[in-house]
Amino acid sequence: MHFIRNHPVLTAAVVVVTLLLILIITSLTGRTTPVEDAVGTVVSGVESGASAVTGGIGDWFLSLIGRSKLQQENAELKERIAQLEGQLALNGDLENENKRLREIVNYYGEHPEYELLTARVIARSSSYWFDTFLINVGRSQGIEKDMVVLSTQGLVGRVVDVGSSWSKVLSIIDSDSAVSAMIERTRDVGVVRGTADVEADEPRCGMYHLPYDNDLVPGDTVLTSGLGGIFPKGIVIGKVVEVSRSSTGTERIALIEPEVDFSQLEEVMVLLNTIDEVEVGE
Amino acid sequence: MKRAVSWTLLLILTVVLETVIIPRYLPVTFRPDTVVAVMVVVALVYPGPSAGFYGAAAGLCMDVILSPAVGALALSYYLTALLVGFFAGRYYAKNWLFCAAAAFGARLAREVLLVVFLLPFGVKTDFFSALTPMLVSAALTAALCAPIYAFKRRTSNAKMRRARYE
Repeated sequence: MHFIRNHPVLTAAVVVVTLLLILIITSLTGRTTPVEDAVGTVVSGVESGASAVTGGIGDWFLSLIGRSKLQQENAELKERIAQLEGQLALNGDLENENKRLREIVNYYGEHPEYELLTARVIARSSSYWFDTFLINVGRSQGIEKDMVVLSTQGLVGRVVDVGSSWSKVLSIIDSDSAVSAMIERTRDVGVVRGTADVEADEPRCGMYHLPYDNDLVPGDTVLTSGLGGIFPKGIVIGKVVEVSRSSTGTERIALIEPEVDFSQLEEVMVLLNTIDEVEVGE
Repeated sequence: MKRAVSWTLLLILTVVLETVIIPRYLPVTFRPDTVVAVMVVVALVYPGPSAGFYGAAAGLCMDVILSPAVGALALSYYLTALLVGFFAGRYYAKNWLFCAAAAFGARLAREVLLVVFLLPFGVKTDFFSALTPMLVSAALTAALCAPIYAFKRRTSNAKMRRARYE
């Protein structure tokens, strides 16, 4: 510690060079290093616990809100109603979870060709520049890089990094994500990318490289095309909300509202089989 | 030992706040940066390398679990802490207003540095579309920083008085 205090410039240079090396090495190799895996395992463990606790605190606050509303009533009734409100809030939460899980089970039944693994979202990025989140399954559960992540509403993204008990998912609304897609009605093919527009109220995607003469209209459904080798064909991405021309005027661009509500995402499904296995299953 | 435990707890608390609680309950346009808020207070109350190390460790934890370029966030936090330390050494006034102004500037500086480190790795950024949310976030960070600073100064003054008395 004395050395650090006596040599501040040298210390700063060492820290900056070390962090730069980490940045360069991890982006060049593109793989999770053992140190990264260990840090990720510890942090994801803490976050998993924190995520469960904050859910519980949310329920507690709901019961408190219910209690404060009944403050003017007499003491006995207030307490009784507060208890019931608390229970109701808890039941409501359980009911919502039950509904979500039932939807997942139904989704499993509707898509027998998919081998799916349900996972819980435990942490999310709070940055403007990337939209990634962490799920509580990893290499030990059979997760691999580039596996597709879905919700019952549609396509969520793909796994970009895998640790022993955690995985990092890049969502389709991230500006770095690219998904080969097609319009369900017209069968026109394009590429869906996230937009880097931070100020939009709802996250949106753009569909690029659409032929200029297509008759795209707002409300058209966008599905994955199956091209590109990662995303199987026919998964819902979203709906067209606006159509415009590209700056060169040679192609059309569609603004898409994703079907998945990314702000409310709690459980997701990871597709364990590859695109080829899904196509054989169909 | 006690000091190491408190630093670790502070680190865990801010990382959990930044990655679990804030993204879950606050929209992207209204998010303060708790790491910057704590880092600025640490830089002003304890001049030296502590703020930088704390920022780098918090940034690295968040990088590993969420960022596409591991190390970018850590670097941006570390350099921001150095900047705060540099300016604090020259123009430091012992009041909450200076602390809030430092937090406001540090929040913006951190974002600019992050963009600089992300660009070579192909991450698309639209700095001007994010300017309004960034200013809001900087204002929220400053608002969060001022009471933490006031509390921290009061407790460290009380500690010093107690030590002098003893």
